[in-house]
Amino acid sequence: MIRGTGQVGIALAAMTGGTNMVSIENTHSTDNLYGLASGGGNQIKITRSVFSGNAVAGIEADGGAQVGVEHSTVNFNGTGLQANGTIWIDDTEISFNQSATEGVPISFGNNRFYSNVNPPGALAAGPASTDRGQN
Amino acid sequence: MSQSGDYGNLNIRKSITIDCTGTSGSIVTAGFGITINLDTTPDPLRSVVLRGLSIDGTGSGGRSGARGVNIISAAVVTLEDMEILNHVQYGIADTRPRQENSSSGTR
Repeated sequence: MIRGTGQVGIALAAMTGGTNMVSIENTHSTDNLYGLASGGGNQIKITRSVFSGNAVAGIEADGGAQVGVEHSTVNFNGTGLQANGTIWIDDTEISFNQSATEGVPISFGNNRFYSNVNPPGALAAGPASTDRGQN
Repeated sequence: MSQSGDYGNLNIRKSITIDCTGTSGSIVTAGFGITINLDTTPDPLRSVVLRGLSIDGTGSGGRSGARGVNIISAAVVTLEDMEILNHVQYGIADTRPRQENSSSGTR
């Protein structure tokens, strides 16, 4: 659990060469400015985690960053998902944010958006999958 | 931890596992709580595991610690069951600038 930082709960600096691989599981990042913010060159997989009460954004990806979010909750933030880079969402709840999204996250079509003051704009479609979300 | 209790800043320069599961391991500090910098170690693993620690940046008079865990150089960093709170800048800062077969996990 990461809570109450003045800037970013989980901060990943931009890479100058290669790719940084990060797995985040069963983690709460709450009451920060950003729950998670990633510079370019990071590949991040988030599962079963909560990003809540972050004043600016729950999850932010800079250009060149790739963030996959599944089985997670993003709520009560300024913006839920701030996709300046690539954010995929799968079986994730985005609710009670001021704005659900900025940029165009990629959805696998099995997420729940509700009670965001500003609902999400158009989402890009994720890769083709079966009804069970399996390829 | 060989003994439970409150500790100050910690600088890690070689592969290590610190497991405070089932006991009390707490860092209350200004500055960086834990800095991981395995840049010069000959250890081929360059792996750090931190488990069950609490890192609180709250000094007297309020929030003063800059970062909870500051990762400068390591191949693999694993954080499990950590409580990191009340820092001025970042809870976890992964500042590695280039690929080092790097991987970080938190749980």
